[in-house]
Amino acid sequence: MKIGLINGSPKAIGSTSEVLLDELKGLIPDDHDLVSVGMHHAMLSSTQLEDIASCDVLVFALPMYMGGIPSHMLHCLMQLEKALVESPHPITVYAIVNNGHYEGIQNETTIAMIKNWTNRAHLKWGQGIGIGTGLMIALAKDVPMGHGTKKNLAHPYSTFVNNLLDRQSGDNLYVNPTYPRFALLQGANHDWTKQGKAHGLRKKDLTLAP
Amino acid sequence: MKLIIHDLNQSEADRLFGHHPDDAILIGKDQEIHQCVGCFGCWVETPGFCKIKDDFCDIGKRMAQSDEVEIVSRCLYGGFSPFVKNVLDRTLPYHQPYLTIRDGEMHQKDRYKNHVNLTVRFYGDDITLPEKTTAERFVEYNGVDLDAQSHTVSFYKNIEEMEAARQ
Repeated sequence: MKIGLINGSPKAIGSTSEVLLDELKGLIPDDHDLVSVGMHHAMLSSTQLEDIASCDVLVFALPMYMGGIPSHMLHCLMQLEKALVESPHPITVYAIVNNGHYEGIQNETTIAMIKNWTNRAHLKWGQGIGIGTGLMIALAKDVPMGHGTKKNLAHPYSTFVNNLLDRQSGDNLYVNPTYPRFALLQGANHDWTKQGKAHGLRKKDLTLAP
Repeated sequence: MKLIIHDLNQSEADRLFGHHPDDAILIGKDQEIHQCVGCFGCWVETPGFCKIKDDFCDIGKRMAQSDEVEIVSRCLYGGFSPFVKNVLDRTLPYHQPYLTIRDGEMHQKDRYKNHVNLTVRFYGDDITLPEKTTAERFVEYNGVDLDAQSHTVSFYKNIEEMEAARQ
């Protein structure tokens, strides 16, 4: 089976979506053909369009931006919809959406938009998985699945991969970080102050209202 | 002040917004915009301003000066069209980097004291029921995320229908 792994982050390298796709790759048996496509800008090349159209399964990994799909990706999805509708493709679509907030459920609307795109492109919807504070997973790149930060991700990811390999549909899955919300909030806020300091700014500078 | 963000062509915009109040600012496709690259420079390097040098580096400030935000967009997959979504994506400097709990969920703290009234008008002659449902939830999410005073969403088959409703 040919599986297209589409990275919809605007960052070409070092994105959380990239790490989440890498985690997925580790769970897919070697006898499947994996095709990686970077959807980082507002246009797909003809080679990318052909690569995507030749797949049996597509997995979109993307960050939630302001409750929805990042704008550059909307351009690509429109382009892809047009190409796929012109000739029917028996493709099943899955989505991995991460956000910077705690609750995985905040990605629900973005997953629904990918599902709506799937219907417009006349493809089959598989399943979506929404991951809260995806960055925590990305920072724990070397931690084995099912441990530490990735504890809450192991079971949903396993279900997701099994459905994907069988090209089955399933209810969307939502994952919160392993750590309590208040701890994550405090830790993240501390980290923003640290990042500001690295640029010569004080905590109160980051809250300025110009 | 009223901020109107739309994806219409010039003649449609003239028809729809021809008699807008003097203090309204129109944001349309004639302005240069680049995509948000998720660098967070607007939070930790130039707080309140986007580092991308185009017509939208001060969009957070413009939003802060508004008490009304009206969005007119084609409904695409249950969300905004690429241009309108691009504008919304670039409003990241309107928020602080610091996190808080709002309506039971984690969101960014407000950078400014204003609370906009958000009005969203979607148009499209073949908007499906699932897309409408998604769009309603999307606007509700935006309302919470922007810490808006209120949010409303409506759907129109075309600009003529919207024009009649706006009058």
